[in-house]
Order: sequence, then C-alpha cells, then structure tokens
Amino acid sequence: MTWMKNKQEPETRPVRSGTAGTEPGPPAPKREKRMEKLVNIGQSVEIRGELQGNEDLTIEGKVDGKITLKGHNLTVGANGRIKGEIFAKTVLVVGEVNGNVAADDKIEVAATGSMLGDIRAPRVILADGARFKGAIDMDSGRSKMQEKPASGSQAGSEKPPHAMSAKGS
Amino acid sequence: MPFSWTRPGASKQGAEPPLAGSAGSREHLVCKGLYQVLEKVFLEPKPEVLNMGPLCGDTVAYLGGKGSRVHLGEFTPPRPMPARVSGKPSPTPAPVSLTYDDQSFDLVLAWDLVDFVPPECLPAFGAELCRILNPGGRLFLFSQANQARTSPGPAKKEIYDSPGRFRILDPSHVRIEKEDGGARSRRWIHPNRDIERALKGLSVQGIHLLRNQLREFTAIRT
Repeated sequence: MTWMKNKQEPETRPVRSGTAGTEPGPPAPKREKRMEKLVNIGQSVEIRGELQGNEDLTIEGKVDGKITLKGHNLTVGANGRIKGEIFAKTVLVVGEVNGNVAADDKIEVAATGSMLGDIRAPRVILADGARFKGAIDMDSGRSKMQEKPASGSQAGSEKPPHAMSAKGS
Repeated sequence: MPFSWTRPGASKQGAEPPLAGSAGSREHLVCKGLYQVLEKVFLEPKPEVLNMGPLCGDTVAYLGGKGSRVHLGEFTPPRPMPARVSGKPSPTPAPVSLTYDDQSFDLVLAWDLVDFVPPECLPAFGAELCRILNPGGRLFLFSQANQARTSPGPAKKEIYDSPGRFRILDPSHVRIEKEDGGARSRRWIHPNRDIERALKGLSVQGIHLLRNQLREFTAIRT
C-alpha cells in the first residue's frame, strides 16, 4: 500500500517556522567548509620561493619556485604562470608551467595550457591543442613523488591540516 | 561551407573520406607498418619515443600507457629555398635541426611531417632523424603518394596544407584529424627514391601504400 504512504508523507514533513532564520541552521557550516577549500593565489600575486601546502590550491598569479602539495590538487589557472618544479596529487594546467611536474595521481593539460618540462604521473591527459615540450613518463612505479625528504623542522612541526607556507628565496 | 567531393564509383554505403586538405577532416587508416613497429618497440623495457607533429593526447596516453617514455616537441618545417636569381650567388637550403641529443630515441613517429619539408632540405631532415635514433631504433612516417588526395580539383603547382593530428586508436588503426583554420604551409609529394635517399643512414624496412594513397615508411637504424 505504497499509495497510502505517499499520501501521508506531507503530514510527516517538518514544517519550518519563521524562527528558522534566528537559529543557526545546518547549511551554514557546509558553506564555511566550501569556502575553506577554495584557496586561490590571485592574478596580481607574485611569489618567489618555495611553496608548500596541505590543501588544494588554485594559482592564478605568478609563482617562481618549487610547489609541493602532498596529497592535494593543484590547479594552474588560465592566468597562472609557474616557473619551477611541481609535486602534487593531481595537477591541472590551464595556464603556463615551465618546469618538471610530478603527480601521484593525474596530470591534465587543458587545451589552453602550455607546458615546458617533463611530466611524471600514472595518468596523463593532454588536450588537443595544448602546447607541450618535454617528456612524459607514465610509469606508475616511478610516479611517486621522488622529491627530497622535508627537513626535520617541517616533518615534525604540527601544522593545522589547512596550512600553506611560502619560503622566500 | 564544408567542401564535399565524391569520387566517381565511390561506394554508396560509406561516405567518401574527406580530403586530407579539407577543413575539419577525419580519416581512418589501417596501418600494417605501424603495428609491426610498435610490436617491436614495446618489447623493450622502457623505450624512448619521440612523437612529432601536432600534439594528440590520446596518442601520448597510448604510448605512455604501454610503458614508453614519450617525448613531444614542435617541429617547424624549413622554408623552401628562394628561386635563384641570375647574377647572384645561388641560395642555400634552410638548415634543419632537431633539438635532441644524438641517439636519444628508440622510436621516432614523424607522421606526415616529411611532406612539409622542401625537397632540398630532405637529406638534412633524414640525417637529423638518423642522428637522434639509437642503433636499432625505428622510424615511422607517412607521405602522400600523389597530389590528387591532398588537393581537390585539378592538379596544382603548389599545395598548402597543415600537418595532421594522428590519433592511435589501436596498434594498427590510426585516425588523421585536421582542424579548421590551422596554419598551412607548402606540402610536397616526394618520390619514394627521394625519401629513401634522405634516409640513407637508415635501412628502409617497408613501404606500404594505404587505401587513401598515403605511403607508410618504416625504417630502422642499423
């Protein structure tokens, strides 16, 4: 007798009263979380030096130095210009990258992307029309990040899960 | 408006494949030579492969997925030699150089780039291909066999075309794709003997004429 259930459903629904706006509802924390995940380096920002982080990052500005995002995603936006090595879980290149890129999972170069350097990742996606000069190594056995181990201060430091650090050159 | 052309006597079931020079064309090829080359190359543990011409992501993914290290680089065809003017010293052919070290690759996929190399530069281009190949390394290239397929209508003195994007569907099937509005440069029809002479450092293993009048050359560096 499912038709009877359907009829009863509207009665069992909680009716929201006008006081809902005064009390903190459940959607608010979700929005905050979403805001936290979107970390951008803006178009006018220029960074020289090493960049490390433990969260996803989108770069629209210029970075001259090594970028390390262990286990996280890096997006080089359409206006992003990177000069240096990149280590991350996944890397999406829509802008320009001049340097070697290694990813644990995937590297994708969009049609508007431009790359000069070598790629090492188990999965590589190159869109037709992308500009690329370099070598591609999809050997999954070697795809793990082969960067030098971090210094003791970084390894032992208790940073919050969403932390970004930039070292000046 | 897309150009359409049907050859007299063409089958009614399948549409005639577009001409190589037409905009936005796609053409499927069954390549016996490519199959043989890839079969041999992939026997090696980690072959170094140079994929020349316009970038095709699927081809790179295919080659990389087979365990090879794929190198990509743009190649700008040299300009043809200007006509000789009486009373002036004869012009020299434009230099051809590939920016790779000697003996770097186990396989070079030159696709149809040889057709964009002027005849006077062909020996230099062949020498460069030979230089960058490892001993035992292999070369694979396509070349148009006649002008009729590259240009619609009556034969022309000069054909202008853009290099195709070659998508490896499987070891014996390739799809050639050409986009609208690509930069076009002059395309030559080189005779077999000229290509073989240009590849004098290599041993030509086979020349297969495909159904669409493309010749596939396979060569090995001895």
